[in-house]
Amino acid sequence: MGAHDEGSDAGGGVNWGSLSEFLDMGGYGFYVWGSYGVTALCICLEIFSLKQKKERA
Amino acid sequence: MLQAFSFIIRRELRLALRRKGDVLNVLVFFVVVASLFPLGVGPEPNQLRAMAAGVVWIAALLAAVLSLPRLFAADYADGTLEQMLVSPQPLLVVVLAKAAAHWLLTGLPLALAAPLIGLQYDLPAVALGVLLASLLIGTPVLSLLGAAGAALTLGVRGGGALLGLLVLPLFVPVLVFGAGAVTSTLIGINPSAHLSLLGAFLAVSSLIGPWAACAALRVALD
Amino acid sequence: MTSDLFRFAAPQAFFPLAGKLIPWFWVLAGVLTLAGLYVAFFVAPTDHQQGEAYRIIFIHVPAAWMSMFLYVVMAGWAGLGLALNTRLSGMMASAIAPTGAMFTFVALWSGALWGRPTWGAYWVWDARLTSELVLLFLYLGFIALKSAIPDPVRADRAGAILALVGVVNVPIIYFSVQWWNTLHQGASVSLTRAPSMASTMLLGMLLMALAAWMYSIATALCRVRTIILERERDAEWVRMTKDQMRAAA
Repeated sequence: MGAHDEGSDAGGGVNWGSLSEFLDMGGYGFYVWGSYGVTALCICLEIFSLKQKKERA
Repeated sequence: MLQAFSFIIRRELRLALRRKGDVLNVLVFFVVVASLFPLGVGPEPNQLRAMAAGVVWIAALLAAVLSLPRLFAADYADGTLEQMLVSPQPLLVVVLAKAAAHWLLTGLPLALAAPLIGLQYDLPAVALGVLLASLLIGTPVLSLLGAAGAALTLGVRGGGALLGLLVLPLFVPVLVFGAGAVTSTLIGINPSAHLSLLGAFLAVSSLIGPWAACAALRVALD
Repeated sequence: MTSDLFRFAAPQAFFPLAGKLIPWFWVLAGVLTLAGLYVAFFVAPTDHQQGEAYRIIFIHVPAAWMSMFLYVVMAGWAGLGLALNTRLSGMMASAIAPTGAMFTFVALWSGALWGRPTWGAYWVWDARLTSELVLLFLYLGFIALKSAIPDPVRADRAGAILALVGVVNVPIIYFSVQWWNTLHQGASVSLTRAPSMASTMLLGMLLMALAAWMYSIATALCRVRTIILERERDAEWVRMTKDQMRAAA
């Protein structure tokens, strides 16, 4: 506790004790990382297709 | 102007009489689709009663989409549409008349056949009346907004499926208010709120549908 | 000022301007995303009701906002193109549509993944998710119509008419879906109505929303540049620009 609580205002900041705790997301890891992962994938795909189109043009 | 309007409607009806099959096929399609649902979900009467309005409305939407590609296609192919564009009567009158004729030939028969399907689904008499009313108010929307979709996909390859993709999402309010009117009757709520909202949507679509159809026809014939 | 604006409405003048602006928007998008993610994961506290699953809102809500907003912007460009008959407007509308569809998909996907732990099902016919789904159909219709018409000028005009009809209908569709939802007693927990929204949560959401804005501008400008190159490939200036770009690469 205490490493990141300077920026929060609702009773103590969120602190992840370890990387595995961070990845676990309180048991919701699949849902949280599933959302963020697919979003990142969509963005990467869009940027990739833009690059390809630019090279073809 | 009124003369031109009724002239075009009479012409459309005359043409339809010559090809009765086209009009009849849409109606048969509607009845077949609606009759297939119980075979898919089972004959449990309570379940069927609950889904009757949705089934009838979705079958009506699909039948409308099926009939819409022909709205302008023949006149586009033989050049009549181009003549209508340069003729003195405003294009808006042509579009309104065509949409009205389309409703008389598809929307109205569907609405009149709907209570029969409602009987198959064991709807009570009050709900049958509401179903008929909702279709009478709602199906003109399908012709008005559908005219815009038909004009946008005129001469486009693969136009039929595309037309469905364009207009079906726009029909969501009709489906919600139309089927909702019947469903609320079944659970003892006065359907007048749904029917008024349906009427309001009809008013909105009678403004934007023909406008968009005119603009799209000008683009297509440019 | 207005004459300047009209000068940049010509693709030839807009092309280099967009090229100069694009890197800035990419940088802003990157910085804001990093800041937003930091706030989302390391500053914002755990939600009392939803636990860590609520952290999905940091992409869900900005994506949902962006998807609706981009449709309106797209329709705005489309309307401008119809009214003033400028070539660039139609190209802008085409350039925005794929990004808008992408954000709509992201909003749906993240909404479904949020729904599983919260409602117990990936898909619940909640008013917001259902409207997002219809919005996705509207985007797909727009893209399909444009790609089905080979002539770019006709495609732009037809797309513009469709976008305008769509934008009038979006609020009505949204209202009707809400109405339908109340008739059928839909899910009551909403993804956006977090009961105790801490100000850091709001900050994270705003940062991510701004990042989504910058990203959308950057991708739209990139895409409009390739569209300009495609459409005007026979113009003298395009040939010269392409030679310069090849020399630089």
